[in-house]
Amino acid sequence: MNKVVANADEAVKDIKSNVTLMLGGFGLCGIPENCIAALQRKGISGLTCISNNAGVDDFGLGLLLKKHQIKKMIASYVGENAEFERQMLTKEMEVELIPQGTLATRCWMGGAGIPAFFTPAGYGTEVAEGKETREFDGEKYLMERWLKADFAIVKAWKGDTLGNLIYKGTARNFNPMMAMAGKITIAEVEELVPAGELDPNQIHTPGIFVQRIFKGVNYEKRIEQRTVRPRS
Amino acid sequence: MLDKNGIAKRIAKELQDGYYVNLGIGIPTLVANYVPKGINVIFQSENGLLGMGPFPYEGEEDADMINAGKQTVTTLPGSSIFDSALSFAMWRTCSINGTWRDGSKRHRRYCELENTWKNG
Repeated sequence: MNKVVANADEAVKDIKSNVTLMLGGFGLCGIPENCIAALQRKGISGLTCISNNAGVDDFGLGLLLKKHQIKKMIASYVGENAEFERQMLTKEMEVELIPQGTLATRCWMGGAGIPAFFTPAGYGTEVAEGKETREFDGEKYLMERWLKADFAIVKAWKGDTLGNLIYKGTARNFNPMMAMAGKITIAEVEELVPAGELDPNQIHTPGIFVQRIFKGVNYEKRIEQRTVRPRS
Repeated sequence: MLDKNGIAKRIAKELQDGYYVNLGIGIPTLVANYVPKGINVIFQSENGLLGMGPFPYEGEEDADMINAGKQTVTTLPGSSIFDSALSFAMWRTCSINGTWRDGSKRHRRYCELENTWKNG
């Protein structure tokens, strides 16, 4: 079983136009920087991208937006990106906004093989339009479906040659659920070690969910809001 | 008319000792600066952090440790980190005592975009 590939270009080699991708990250934290750059280089288009955010104008998924590679964005928060707003308002790109918890859970359910579930989030709002509702124990809920992707692209801190992953800090966010929900999951990691070096108790994503892994390079890890406190 | 910090100060008066509190992007993140003396609360950040600490000292910022507003933060003794699905499970089961979202920033902007998009 050889899951290791050389780099991002190798990892995304067979991703074609018009597929559905899941991309991990919250803001610019925990985003698969190398794969996003590789997708931009490939120039494929017509992509449906499922990600919590759409990056900023010149980083993250904003890079794919700049080259008009995204046909549809499924996300929960899309501020901080003027090009995104422009493409949405001109209807160049379709946008589906999902409450963040629902987005996270739909990805998890997609990875867990559960086609539908009931949640209170969005009941009685536009989010509930066209969806079945039901009452359980006196409370109202609406039905949401699983979310799956042709490819899930995730970023982790450490990984091994069997695809086991460990995340660091709040760079974890959506990566674990998306790693489960991709038909093919690609993981880029900062440190790639041989199987056996990672403590099984520390693994966040078991390698069964990961089909390709590579050691990424030159992470910018851009900070959107650098906030500090004075030393007293 | 209250300014941003005035609103945050007012919200902070609702905090009770032992609360688990979520702070959304925008004005709510300022509430952490006005916790009344003698009250211990644990701040949760939707992107997967329970026990959110203050902003770091200059030079100690960690790009992998941010809050809902994408600001650099720190952890505290007893903090925990988890994924986004687990984060919202905390919300749904009301393990979070209080949550403040800044409707004026995120929701209104979403509605503006949505309405303009639908109406052309």
